[in-house]
Amino acid sequence: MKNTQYWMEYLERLAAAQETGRIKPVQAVEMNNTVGKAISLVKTNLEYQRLKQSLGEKAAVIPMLELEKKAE
Amino acid sequence: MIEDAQAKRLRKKTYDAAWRARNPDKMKKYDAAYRARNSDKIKKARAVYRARNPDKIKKRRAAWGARNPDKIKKCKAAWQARNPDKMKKLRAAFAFNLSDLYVKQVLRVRTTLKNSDIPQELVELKRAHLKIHRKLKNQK
Repeated sequence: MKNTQYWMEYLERLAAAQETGRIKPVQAVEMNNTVGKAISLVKTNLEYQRLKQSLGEKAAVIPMLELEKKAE
Repeated sequence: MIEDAQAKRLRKKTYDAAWRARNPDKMKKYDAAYRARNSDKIKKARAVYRARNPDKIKKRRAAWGARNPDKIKKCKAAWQARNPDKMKKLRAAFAFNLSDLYVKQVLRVRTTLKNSDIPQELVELKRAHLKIHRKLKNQK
């Protein structure tokens, strides 16, 4: 996953290109949506980290328990 | 003569203090009446003190806030309930200016994240994303 700094520079380039008219509005929307998806991924990662922190050692046990349930 | 006057003053002082301790209700009434008579004077004196000691006031307020977070929460909620129009305007301003709080609120939608979990870097990125999104929306 690319870091937030990369996406920030990406947006700056996008804004510049859009202002000078080097790209079409449709392309700009698509590029902006790509950043939206990247932000969504970062959020998911943050949520995962938070959950892992709150569960502590149990985090590793839970998938195993689910697998055991499925096997039964 | 001087010693007599000093002793007399001390005797009166101790007598007064004892009387005050014996009659708390009367003192309460007297104090309330004094405050009612001299409310302007008291207000002015307090304002002067506040102007002269801003650091002390700031520290005292911060300490009180740390001791009473629930009271502050209740007070804020009560103010918000009393002033729905002002809150509406404030929220609109937050959204228009893309304030940190608003951006964090947008980022939190359909997640279990708290404001404190969201790093400032991500807030800046989302703000730039929303700015471009709005610009593109207006062009259509």
